[in-house]
Amino acid sequence: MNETIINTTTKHQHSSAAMGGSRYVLYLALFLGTLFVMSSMVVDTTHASPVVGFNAGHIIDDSVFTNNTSMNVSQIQTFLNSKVPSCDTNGTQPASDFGRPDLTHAQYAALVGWPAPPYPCLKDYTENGLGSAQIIYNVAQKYQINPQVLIVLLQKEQGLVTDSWPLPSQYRTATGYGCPDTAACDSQYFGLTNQLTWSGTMFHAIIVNNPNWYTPYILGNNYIQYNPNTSCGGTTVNIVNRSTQALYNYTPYQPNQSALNAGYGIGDSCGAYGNRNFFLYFTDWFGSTIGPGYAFAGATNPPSTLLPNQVYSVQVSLVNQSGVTWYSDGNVPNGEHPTRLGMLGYTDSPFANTADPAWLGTKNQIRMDQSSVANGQIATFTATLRGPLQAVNNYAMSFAPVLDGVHFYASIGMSWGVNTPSPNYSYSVVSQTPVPATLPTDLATSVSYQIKNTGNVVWYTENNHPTGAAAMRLYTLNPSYSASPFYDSATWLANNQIGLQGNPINPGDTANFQFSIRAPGTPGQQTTSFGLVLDGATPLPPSVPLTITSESQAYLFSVTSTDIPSQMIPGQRYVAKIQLKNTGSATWYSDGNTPVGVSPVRLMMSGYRNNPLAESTDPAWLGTKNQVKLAGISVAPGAIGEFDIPFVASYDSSVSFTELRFALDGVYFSSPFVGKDITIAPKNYSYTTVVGTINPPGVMSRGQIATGKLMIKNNSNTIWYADGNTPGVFHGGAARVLMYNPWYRQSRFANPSDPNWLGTTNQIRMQTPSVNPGQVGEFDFTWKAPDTAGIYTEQFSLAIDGYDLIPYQGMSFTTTVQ
Amino acid sequence: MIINSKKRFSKKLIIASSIAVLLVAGALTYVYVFNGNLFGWKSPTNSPSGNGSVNYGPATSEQQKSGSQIKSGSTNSSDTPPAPTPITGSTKKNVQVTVTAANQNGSTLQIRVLISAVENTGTCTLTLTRAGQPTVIKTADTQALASTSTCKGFDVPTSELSTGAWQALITYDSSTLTGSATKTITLQ
Repeated sequence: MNETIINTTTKHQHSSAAMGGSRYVLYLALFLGTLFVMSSMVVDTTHASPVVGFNAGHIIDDSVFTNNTSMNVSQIQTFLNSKVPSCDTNGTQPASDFGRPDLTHAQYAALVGWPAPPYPCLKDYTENGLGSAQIIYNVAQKYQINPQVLIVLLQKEQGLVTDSWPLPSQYRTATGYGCPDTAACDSQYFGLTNQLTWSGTMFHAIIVNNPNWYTPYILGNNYIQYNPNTSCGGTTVNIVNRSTQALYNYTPYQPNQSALNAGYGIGDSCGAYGNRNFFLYFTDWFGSTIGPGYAFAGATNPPSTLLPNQVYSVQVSLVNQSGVTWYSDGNVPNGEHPTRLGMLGYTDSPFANTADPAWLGTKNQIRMDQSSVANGQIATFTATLRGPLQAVNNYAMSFAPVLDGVHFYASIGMSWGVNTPSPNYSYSVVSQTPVPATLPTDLATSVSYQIKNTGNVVWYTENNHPTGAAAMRLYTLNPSYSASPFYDSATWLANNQIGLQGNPINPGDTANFQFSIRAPGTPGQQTTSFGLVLDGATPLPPSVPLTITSESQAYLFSVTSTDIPSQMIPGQRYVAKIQLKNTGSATWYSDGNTPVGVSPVRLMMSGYRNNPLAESTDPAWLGTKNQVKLAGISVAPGAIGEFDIPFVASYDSSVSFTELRFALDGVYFSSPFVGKDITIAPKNYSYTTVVGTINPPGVMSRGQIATGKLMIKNNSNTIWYADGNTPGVFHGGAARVLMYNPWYRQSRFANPSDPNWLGTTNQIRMQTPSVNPGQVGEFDFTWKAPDTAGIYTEQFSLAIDGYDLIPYQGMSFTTTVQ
Repeated sequence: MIINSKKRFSKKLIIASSIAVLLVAGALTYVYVFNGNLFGWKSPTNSPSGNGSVNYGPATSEQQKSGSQIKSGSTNSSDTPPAPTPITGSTKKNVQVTVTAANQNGSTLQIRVLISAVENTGTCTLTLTRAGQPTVIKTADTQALASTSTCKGFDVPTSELSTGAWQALITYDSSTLTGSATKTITLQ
């Protein structure tokens, strides 16, 4: 038998490559097809199964019911378009939807007595020049009702949203709002706009609890029937909110179990479907009727970039719409739980600032600020974020309120996106205080470095850092962390580290490291270097070495001689000499003769107190009253240096504290005093008139001028100076003759043209420049008789101007004026 | 000898176009499933609705069927209040009246009524009786609603009543309708 072998290969003529290509296309088709199926599974929620989640007392949340901005006109239109892809305006499609595929819609309508076409679909319907989407939107805005509620209402009352061939009657009573017996129904109640408006009016009146709008149901317990037929019974339902109350106001029955079991379908004879269908359509088309339990009310958002270590305070405000009170940690009544702001899934955030107690010791939950927040009130959650010390690339923190130990609230999409760049610790030295090339042994001096943060990490300081976070420090180099020869325990953290005080140093800012160095006790050249380190971390590579080099030198001395007097008399001048031997290793230089970088040696009053005995006009005092120049140019080790100290004893103190110390300018030496106290002798005033005194005449004619002279011997223990001859900074005054009885009495014989009267009528100057005890002072004057005749007696004594009145010792002139 | 047919598509072209389609499909999936927001840095904002997800897909067959049933009236008839019934010997018809709430809230007794007709011209009368106590009578107008009506009342101060069981009688009268309901209310 001959068989024809059919070569299947020839029948299907494909090259192997093309066959491979077909496989690709096949796999692609499978992939896309799977995608499509999966995606439709994601979006298609059908209700072949019984209704789940219907709560008769809480059908919908007020926040959802009144969310009038849920959709705009364009979105409403798109939605309506989506539900009727193909409108049978002319009624030409088969009436399969009514079980008569053999008839067209128009024919079916004729059969049952419905009007003839056209049948405009809701998506195409217009009234008074407005499209249905616009009408729905307008009513939603006017009455603050969610347009989605109105859309569902149109569907549940007349099936208008899904109907591909609606009848005019369906628009006439579009929302099923009845016309009362007495009203003008056509003009006031019927038509799409009127119907939606009445629905909006009623809903709004109930939501705001308008006292003029009455409802058969109130908040609280109501008896709600399953069906208009009372024999079907009903239950007492606790209506919890006004939106649910509004829905029952519209359709006053609740679904029984058979209605719920039927999904979108028909239950038993006691079933009623209005509110069930509202719930089903809303849930399937727009999501849950029960809101998330909170709404966003505002936030302080973090920047999109947080620098390493940068701390930033953030806050989220939420409206509590859960129906129950929220409590914060630490304020929770028995049996309740705290409400926190939690990162979804309890995911740890790399930006949690764990030093901030608001994070409750976690990295994923933030404490509520208020101790309790009632339903309807605003809760805030405030915490600080901190940029970590490692790069974080576009991290999203998504969060929602969480009832601790119970459940997370549904997310409404709140999230922050933050990133932190890789830490960069670079720095540059801006300036530094110069360190003396030589320092006395054991003496401390202030030093500072101004270092700019040129990186991107915020530097914390010793007194300003989150708990557990590291501060920036100087640390010794060569070798690292070696004990520095210049360590000063007064200002360093350790013998190898120096801290920073004050506010954190942000990138771009300059840190001021202020500290002191102490020269070692042993003379010699010492060097110390520093770098920067983040405490506890790896030291940063120094970009510029910070090096201190100084020669510690011994400034030592012994007192060779001092002739500071123990006692001086008021007015006495004396140049005391102090000789010190340089027993150290440093050469002493005097002011004006110092090499560069070297400070002069001086004697200095303790605490820079002014010495009242200083004759400070003398250049030896260097223009001060508390420092004395070293005589000469320099004093080598082993040589003797001298300090010449001009004193002038004052009239107003009995003891002067000398307290002079050996010092290096700019550094205060804790050395013993080299001066000693000077006592000023208490004043002991006494004088006599002596040979050479010329009295004015005993008889004078009126206006007559005569000359006189007083030669007065200084029997006191004070030195008298004449006007114009007093020491420059003298704590004392000039000696003068002063009229007495009373003191400063104006003399009748004063001669105003005689300069010896010093421009006064009661004082006469001394001629002798200075008068030591035992010496005689001369007072020359002219005596002018008054214009009135009579016998006049003038009494006078001596005074130290501005200081003392020397007691009257009987000096007087009596003159008869004729 | 089988002669290979002409290659309609070069192998390279097939691979390249397949990869391109795959990439496009992947992108579309990404956009569609993740809403383009896998790295959506959204500052916290209020979502459009409670969950912000609108279904723009076509109506399901069940929803369409349900719509048809609504259209034909078979569904909503179950939600329509019963029509008033004739009363022998009267021109008026009997309308169903139901007491829907009778709650004591603090110092107020709240009684609410459902009237199975859409009217705003009728009058409601509430009569509260208790043996040994003065009878309390209140009247109210009616409020028309979508498919029913309600009495514009009643909030009765409990100071006008004593504790114990009261009989509440609500009568409704309009020019064309009449109806009544009773309820026993126990005041604390």
